[in-house]
Amino acid sequence: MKKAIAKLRQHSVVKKVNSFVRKRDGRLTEDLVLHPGRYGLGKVPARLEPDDATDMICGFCSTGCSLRIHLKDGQAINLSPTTNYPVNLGMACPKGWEALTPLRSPDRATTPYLRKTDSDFEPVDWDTALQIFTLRFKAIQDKFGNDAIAWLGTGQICTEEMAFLGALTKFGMGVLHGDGNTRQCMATAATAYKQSFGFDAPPYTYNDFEESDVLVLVGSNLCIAHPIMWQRICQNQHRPEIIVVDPRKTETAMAATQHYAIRPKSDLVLLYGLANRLITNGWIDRDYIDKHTSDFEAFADFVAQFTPDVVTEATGLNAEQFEKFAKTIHCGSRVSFWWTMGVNQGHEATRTAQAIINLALMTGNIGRPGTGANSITGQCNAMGSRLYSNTTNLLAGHDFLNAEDRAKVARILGIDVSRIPDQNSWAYDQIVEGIADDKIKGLWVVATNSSHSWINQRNFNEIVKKLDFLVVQDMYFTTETAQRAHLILPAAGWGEKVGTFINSERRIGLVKKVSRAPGQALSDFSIFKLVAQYWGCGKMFEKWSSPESVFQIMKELSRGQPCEITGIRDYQMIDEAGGIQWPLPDSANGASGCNESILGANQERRLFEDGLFYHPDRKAKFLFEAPRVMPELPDEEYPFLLLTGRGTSSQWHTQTRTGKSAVLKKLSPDDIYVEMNPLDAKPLGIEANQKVLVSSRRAEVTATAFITNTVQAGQLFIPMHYPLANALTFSAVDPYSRQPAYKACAVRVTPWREAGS
Amino acid sequence: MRDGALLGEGRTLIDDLLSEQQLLTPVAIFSRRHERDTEPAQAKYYSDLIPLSRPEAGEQYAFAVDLDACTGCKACVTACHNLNGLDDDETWRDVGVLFGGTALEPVQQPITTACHHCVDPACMNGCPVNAYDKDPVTGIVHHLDDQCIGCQYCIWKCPYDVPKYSKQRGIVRKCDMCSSRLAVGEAPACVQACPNQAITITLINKQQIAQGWKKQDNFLPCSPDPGYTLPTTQYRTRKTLPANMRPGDFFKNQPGHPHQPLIAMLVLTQLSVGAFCTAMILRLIFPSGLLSELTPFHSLVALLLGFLALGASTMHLGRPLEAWRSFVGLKTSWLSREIIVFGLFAMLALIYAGSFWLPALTRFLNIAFFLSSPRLQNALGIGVTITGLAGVFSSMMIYRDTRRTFWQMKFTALKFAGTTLVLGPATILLTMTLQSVFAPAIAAQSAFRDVVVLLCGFLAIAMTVKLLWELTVFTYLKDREWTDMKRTALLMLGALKLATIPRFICGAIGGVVLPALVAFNLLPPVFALGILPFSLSGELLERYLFFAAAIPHKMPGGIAP
Repeated sequence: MKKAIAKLRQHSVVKKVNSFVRKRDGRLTEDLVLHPGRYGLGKVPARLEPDDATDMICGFCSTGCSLRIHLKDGQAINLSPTTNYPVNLGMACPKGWEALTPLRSPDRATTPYLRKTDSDFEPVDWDTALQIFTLRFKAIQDKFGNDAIAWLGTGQICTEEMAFLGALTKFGMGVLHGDGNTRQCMATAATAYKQSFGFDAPPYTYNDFEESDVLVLVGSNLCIAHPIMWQRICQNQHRPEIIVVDPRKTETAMAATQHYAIRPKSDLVLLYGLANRLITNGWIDRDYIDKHTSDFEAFADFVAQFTPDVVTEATGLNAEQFEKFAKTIHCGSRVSFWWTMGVNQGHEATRTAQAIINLALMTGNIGRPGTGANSITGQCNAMGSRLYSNTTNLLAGHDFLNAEDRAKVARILGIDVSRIPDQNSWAYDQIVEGIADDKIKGLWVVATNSSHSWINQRNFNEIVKKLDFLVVQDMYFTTETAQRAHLILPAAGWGEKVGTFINSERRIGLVKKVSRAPGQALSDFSIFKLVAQYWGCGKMFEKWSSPESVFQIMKELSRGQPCEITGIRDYQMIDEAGGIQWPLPDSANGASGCNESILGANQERRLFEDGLFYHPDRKAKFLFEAPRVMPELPDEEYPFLLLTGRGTSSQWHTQTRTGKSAVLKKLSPDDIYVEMNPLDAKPLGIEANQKVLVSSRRAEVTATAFITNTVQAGQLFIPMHYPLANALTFSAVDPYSRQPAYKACAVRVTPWREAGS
Repeated sequence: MRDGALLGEGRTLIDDLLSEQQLLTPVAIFSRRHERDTEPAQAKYYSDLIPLSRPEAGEQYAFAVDLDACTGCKACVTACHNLNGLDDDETWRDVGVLFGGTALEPVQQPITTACHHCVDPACMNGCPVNAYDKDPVTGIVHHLDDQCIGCQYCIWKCPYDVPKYSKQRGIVRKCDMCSSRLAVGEAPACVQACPNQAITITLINKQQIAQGWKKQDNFLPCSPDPGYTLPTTQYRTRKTLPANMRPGDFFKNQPGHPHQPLIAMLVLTQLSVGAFCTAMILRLIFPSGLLSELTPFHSLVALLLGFLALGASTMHLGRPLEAWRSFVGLKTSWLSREIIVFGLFAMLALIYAGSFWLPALTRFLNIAFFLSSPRLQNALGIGVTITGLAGVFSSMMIYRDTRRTFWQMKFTALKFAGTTLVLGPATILLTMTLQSVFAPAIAAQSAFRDVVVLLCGFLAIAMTVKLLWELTVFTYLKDREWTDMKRTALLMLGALKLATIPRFICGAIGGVVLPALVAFNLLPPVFALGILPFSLSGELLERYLFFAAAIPHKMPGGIAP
């Protein structure tokens, strides 16, 4: 009987009926079928089967992951991380995976827009836009002088574009003041390195994550902010001690072997205390100090005051914890120190970064595998901005104040040396102040969203109202800043243009044009070219015909500098090598013009292996200064300290791009929330998920309370991605780097209902 | 100012740059060195992360998650999205976080989740069309997209919120562990993409799963009882998670989807069944003279509203034209059973009602006379009543079977039976009163008044009991923990209070006050016309709350303001 039924089941009619009643295939099933993708991709969705593939660098953070773009008819249709790139080893974070999605957003700017009324723009053509651009800015210069216009750039566009913007404005348009949003993330690291090493030179390579036996992360939530760097730590085979210094129990603190939840902004005291402890215990590398550093004795004298008692008092750590910390550093044979925004965004940030550098120097933990005092940067091209944006430094790390440098740059660019300013430009905060003081009347904002991201945001937004002319150049017409512009210039985005990025470990990588920009949007490079033409200085930039020709100019500018890249032949070489770290002088190349060791196995190089630094005496300097209290301490009226920072790995900065991906949006909370400790919530009668009012001296913001032990009592945390977060922050900057201190301001929190009544 | 802006032949620099912008270059410029790589390059990273062998008898594939390695970066979610070519906002994996610990030792623990490819999949058991398949060898739970009718019952059945409905496609889709990748030795997308290698594929023994999950926390704290479906995912950690861990979205309490077509379907089928039952019972108690005048109208109204209900139910389906397949799942699915039973009910009800009307309509054709034999009519009536009640019972089982606390039998049964008992008499009262308005002779019969009083009295008692029972939900407000029932009660008094308050007011007016006043002759009989509109509104609101205030089961979520 059973056999008969089985036989019946095999009958073709029965089978047909069966497959009709229970459909196993059809149109809907086909939508999810996978096919072998070739190009080393494994299986890919059949709908999205590529006919070619190419690799390029991700356009979000400074990790600089390579993404393999799946192409169909030359157009990007999908992507996956590049398997063999020395940075990301076949992995990417959610932003990288979703990098193509923001390009398709309906709020892309597809034509220039001119403000018609207070609330409305009208689309205009490029010719009109450029004429107005020139007319209005020139009128301001005629009336108020050349320096009455300024620009704010970015760490998000290609190096060649940054160089063009910097050269065009300063040399072509005669503008003195320009700065970038890298001021908000990297200025401290740049300043600290420059003062300590003699050049802004992050010494490490990502391989150091894998080679350390002790890693010290200060103010860095690597797991969330730089997941792919955390991946490299996971690859470490030395069972390393991972020390995290952070007031919050972050994802990284959870994954660490030691977490020191110090009081906010007590890091400088802690670091000086550690230095003192290492000295008094004799746990220092005398030989290295003598040979390769200067000013150690003064430093040793200075830190003597930071006894364990002073440290425990300031940080809230107990003596045992502090001792363990010092001992762990001592016991490590390859100790690396890493820092991110927790350090860079502070009122004494430069000295804090240098206190980390000092620890590395005094223990000889630099220039060897798995060591270093290593700043992890923010944006995809922060390093490009530091070297080539022509803001703080003259192009290629030169000095505006140095006549020789000016002459060199003028010669290479073929311009009159008088076109090069002999003074430094204002930093971001000074430009904002300049607008407030009516010294700056015109502003050109390129690829950044100051109205959201600048500290004490409402003050900024009040001040920009004073501008006679505000131009915003961006991919989207909807950014908070674009909405305040007089003129919006539509820019092509990452993936719609060609150029290079430089990542945290100094690796130069390529960006390629794999997607068509919508409407009339143009690459920033083309826009700068047009501005040069309309401004009347097109001749000066005749040689700047394409990004790659500018790259050749950049190479020449770098000659003789620590960041020399004359050994990089062209884009093709970068592409074939899997990214190339600076320096690579052409003197390092063989007859083939191609350095075998660079293109071969040794793709990861670190600096200072010879112990020689960039100061004239070739020594690194110990720099230090007495700690100061933070500018806005909590008091009776505003009893809480507000910390800000990265929320999730699927959010990027002001969410201009990540907010355009439905998937990334799903992976992060929709609305602003504030983390607070249960010990604080209870007496205030604040319950979980209740709406609360967070007020500072500058603004009141409603947010949802998320009650958690991961923030300490007396502290609150709000992710920076939400539009109102920076309405609360207090405008203070580090005196050396002029980087804003985003992570400390005094606030009050009350249940929302109570405040509303 | 526009010095040099014009290039040759009237083309401007703007024109040139705009056309250059549209040229895509990488293929032409950079080498095509990857072309011949047919082997997946990532294999070198993931070859250790998937089993070397196929499952043996009693085994199946399962996800294993190393909680100590997962840092919550969510690359797995996006990799799955991209490498499977999902729709814009579609994700098959999710990452939540558990928070807990003490002030000195705070703990947060990310949890990555996809389909657990359960040993006893609830989605599969509930599907009315057998659109789920558990692979006999790999144990992977597949969804047959072309078989799906878009009823979304699997979404309710799955305690882990795994199947995802696509409105544009009208079907549900879900994780299949990238089975076509595994089949050729490639790792699933999420496994390939985890920077910390936290997700692997492992082989598990199905018997051991059944044993191991007897204790809830063996699976994962803060997740639904694994004893129900026997999920296979292995969450591993060397740490001990503190007992006070809670999901990031623990305190988020928001109304669920109200499923309007289902509100209409449930309330109106119960009304229709109730009306048929009431009419049937009246036929047995009261003199046939009156009833033979009343019944045709009763049955017509009950039939029409019943058909409206079944019509409404198809609005809920993503692919209503495929609904004919619903008989396929009869063996395991209460939804399939409900559809079949109500189909039968509709057929019988049509014939039954037809038996009263067809003879009159087709008299000249001289057919269908046999239908009007009272005996056959009674038999048909009993058939209608039985299938109708069986349908209502199936409806109860559909919801009970989801294991949502607010839908447990003691609530669902009372509500569905209550609606049947309440709206049946209310409907009959309405048709009777209408009839009496147009044909005063009917109302003049002495039995008419008796019927009205009986129905009003019954209705008032039934509705009072139902309302009081519904009010017991608020006793759960006293729960100290945030239980599902407490959440339901909080929702009903919070976000849903604009439905809760009118629900009780309508119920009280239509089901208690009006019937009582009419029964005691304190109001003229014509006021009985108000009974059904109020009662029905009240029941529709009750059913709205039934859906909107039910707390779904799910895996831990992230911070959710």
